[in-house]
Amino acid sequence: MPLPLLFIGIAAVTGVSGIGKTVKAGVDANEAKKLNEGANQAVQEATDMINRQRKACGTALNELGKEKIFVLNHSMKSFLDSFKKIKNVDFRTSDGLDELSRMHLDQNCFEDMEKMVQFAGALAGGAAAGTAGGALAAFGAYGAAQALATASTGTAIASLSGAAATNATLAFFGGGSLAAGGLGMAGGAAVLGGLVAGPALLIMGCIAGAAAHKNLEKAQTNSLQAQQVVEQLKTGAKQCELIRRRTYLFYILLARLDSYFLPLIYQMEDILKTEGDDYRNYSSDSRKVIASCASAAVSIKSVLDTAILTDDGLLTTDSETVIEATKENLEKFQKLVLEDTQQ
Amino acid sequence: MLQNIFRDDLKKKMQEAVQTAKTTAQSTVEVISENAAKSAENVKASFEKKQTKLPDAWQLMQEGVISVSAALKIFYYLIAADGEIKTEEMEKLDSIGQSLDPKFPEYREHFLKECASELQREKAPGDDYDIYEEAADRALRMEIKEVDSFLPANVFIWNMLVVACNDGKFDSKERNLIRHLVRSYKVDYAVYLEMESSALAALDIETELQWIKTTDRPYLQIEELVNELNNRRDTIYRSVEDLIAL
Repeated sequence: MPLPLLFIGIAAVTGVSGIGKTVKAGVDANEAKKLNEGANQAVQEATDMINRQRKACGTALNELGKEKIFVLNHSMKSFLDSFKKIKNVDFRTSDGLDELSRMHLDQNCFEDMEKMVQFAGALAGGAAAGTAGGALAAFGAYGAAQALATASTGTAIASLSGAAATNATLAFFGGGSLAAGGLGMAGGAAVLGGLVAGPALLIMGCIAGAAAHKNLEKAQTNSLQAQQVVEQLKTGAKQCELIRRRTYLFYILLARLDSYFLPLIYQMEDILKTEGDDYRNYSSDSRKVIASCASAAVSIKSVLDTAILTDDGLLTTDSETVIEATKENLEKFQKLVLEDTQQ
Repeated sequence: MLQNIFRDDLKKKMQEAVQTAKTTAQSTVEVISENAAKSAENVKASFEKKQTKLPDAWQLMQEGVISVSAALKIFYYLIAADGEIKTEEMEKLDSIGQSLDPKFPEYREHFLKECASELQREKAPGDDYDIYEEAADRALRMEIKEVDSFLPANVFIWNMLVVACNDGKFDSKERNLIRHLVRSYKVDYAVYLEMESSALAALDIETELQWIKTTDRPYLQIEELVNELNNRRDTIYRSVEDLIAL
């Protein structure tokens, strides 16, 4: 936990520097003590809160990273393996597909998916060996294409872990900052879009060491500074909460899309076995299955492709748009399943 | 003065409840109910000790809590809203009833009769959904005659979603009734939509789990997927816990 360590480190240094300072006569030491205690408590509570949010957010990003890898290595891989065996695919000739057929799976899209699957394969090896570290959170936060651009397949984990450690926000969530750049980087870098910056941390250190400040005037100043720090920490905690919630929404969407995708893949595999590999010879129902399966793949790709965070640690507007679009697609898949059940 | 005592006390107890939820390691919906039950017990004990004036329905709404007796009635109306009360729904109601109020089995029969007669009260052709909403509103306005326990509104709403989805589907009447309660309690709508998405995802995962066990794929292939689906379900529940507790 690098950032809490940083808090403790600064507090300890400030506390030491305060030793030996003379206490002026006539000062209401009791009031100063109360103010200091209040300030300390407020800062401690806000720190605890942001730490809980930070930890929960890191967990959410890791889980999304893991889920993305699983979907790519299982459903998406199975889909690509089967789909590329089918010849003469033409979705324009499929009846009753309407909206779903508009989600095209062209050659570029197909190639992108293959690259993603290869990349996820390399990541999965590291995840199984326990070496993925911050790479999982980075894969959760970044779009798959963006992650691909960051790392070549051979060094997928190292590159993504490096990206996680040098991105202040991901370092904040995953605890990579100390290992990568030490206290200076973490203290100076803007975290969560500049909400918890170095100066605030230094002020916090002063407050945390405020037991030494028996001077009432200083205690009053400390108290005011504590309020500012508490506000900053609260804003930071809120930002963590929003990122966590957006991350879990992506997780949920991916889980739901995959729950429609996998049964369609199995049906597609069965069609290949029973009706051969020429799309032109497929029954109307089978064509519908293939087209629906391709649509689900495109929909999943768009979720995988979308970054949740900007480099500054803010939520992307794209992620909001994709959530809405995916919800609409889910309703279409639901309708399709319902029609199948009723038939 | 009494209102302040009530508010301060309730806030403290709610914070304790939130803390309990934060520290819990288990990730199941039942745990959320259990935590709420503990907090509800705490509030109840506090009232008994201080002999504080009982709060009215308006006060409870302002505090974002619902009395357990009203909550149980609304759970009943919810499972009745799709026109049929299934065995698994009644079992879920029993389980929630018992976890919220250990004495529930003692008055269960009377409670069921009372709820059924409430729904019959103003039944007329055409007001198919309205009777459930009106019955729920009456439950919310119900006078608290004795020391009761309380449930935080967001925990109550999540439990409603769990109860509604317990039969494997989420009916539009159930959705309407839950959304009505969300509006009544001014629960953050974005938070509610996330809870709803979580419940639907859990439902989809459950359906997928049922389906996958019937496929003819090799056991090893299926086992890995089943494990992943169980993990997804646990992760989704944990996300809901975070949504409620953090």
